[in-house]
Amino acid sequence: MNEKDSIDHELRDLLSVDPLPGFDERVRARVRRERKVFSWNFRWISAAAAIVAVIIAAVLVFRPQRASKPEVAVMASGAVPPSPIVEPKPRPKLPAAHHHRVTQAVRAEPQLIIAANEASAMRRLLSGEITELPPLFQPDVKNLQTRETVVEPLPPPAPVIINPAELPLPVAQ
Amino acid sequence: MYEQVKPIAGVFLDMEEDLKREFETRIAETSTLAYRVAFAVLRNSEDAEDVAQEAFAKAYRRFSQLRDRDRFRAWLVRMTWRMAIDRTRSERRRTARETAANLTPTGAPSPVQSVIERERAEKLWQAIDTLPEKLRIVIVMAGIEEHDLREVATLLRLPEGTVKSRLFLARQRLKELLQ
Repeated sequence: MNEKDSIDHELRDLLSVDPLPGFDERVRARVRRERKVFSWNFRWISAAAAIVAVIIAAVLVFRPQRASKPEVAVMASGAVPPSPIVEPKPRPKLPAAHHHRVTQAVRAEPQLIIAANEASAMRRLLSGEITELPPLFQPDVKNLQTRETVVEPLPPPAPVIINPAELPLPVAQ
Repeated sequence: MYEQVKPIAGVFLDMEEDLKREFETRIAETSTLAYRVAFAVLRNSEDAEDVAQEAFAKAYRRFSQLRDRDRFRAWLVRMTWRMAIDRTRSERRRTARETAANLTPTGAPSPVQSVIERERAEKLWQAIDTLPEKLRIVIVMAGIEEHDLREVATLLRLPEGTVKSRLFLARQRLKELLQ
């Protein structure tokens, strides 16, 4: 037996230590205790999760509704605006200490940008200055002509004839 | 309602029973292995038993992820080793360790023979203790239950080449230390 085998042999002897009798039973008892703790923990965690879910649901359902922001009308060119255009009022000057916060709040509001000629036209229309729209906007509906619908039966379909394909046979040599 | 819930609950209960049964099988297969791994580090039967039990308790908590037999063995071995090392570090002041001879089953040797064996075993333990951890774990795993290279590699999740070289180094060191 060489030295390597001798060391391996000694090691095996040294490490082949058996536990005291009843070790498996003690392990099983320990695991049973763990099972109880684990199941209790699981129940507590489940209960806590359910409570948190109920609280979140309650908060979502009963939270006070915020005052809705005024809707900003988006105007396409040529469309009639839903509300009159209001000239922006001059902003009151605030003390320097609050200046920064206020400007941020004002910036948050979107600005309406309308072409000057469109704005003046709308102003005139709303004030009653314009009573009649140009003919472009008044289509002559009375004189519109429509074609009469004629229903004709379709001719019967022609028979489909497919001739068999003729392939040239190779010439025997 | 109860009639509808009953079969679903039955399925869950059956699953739990299956898990319990499987775990019982794993305990029967690996309890001695876990004990020996812990003993190799702690050299004290009570401490080794404690650590092995604790490792099984942890394994139970994660058993749904460790149902594969090889995976379970590997996980248990590594976990037991780590827990045993942690315990050694936390109880470094504790020096009263059982001597190896008290625990090594040795028929009925003569008193002189017994003393020689005890001294030799003590030297071997000291030599193992001086090895770096990565060499120590490899040589211990190879010594326990006569695991071969492939088995040690699987248990420690290392490539076989690494295990081979570490085993060689560990044997070299032990030989030097024992001379």
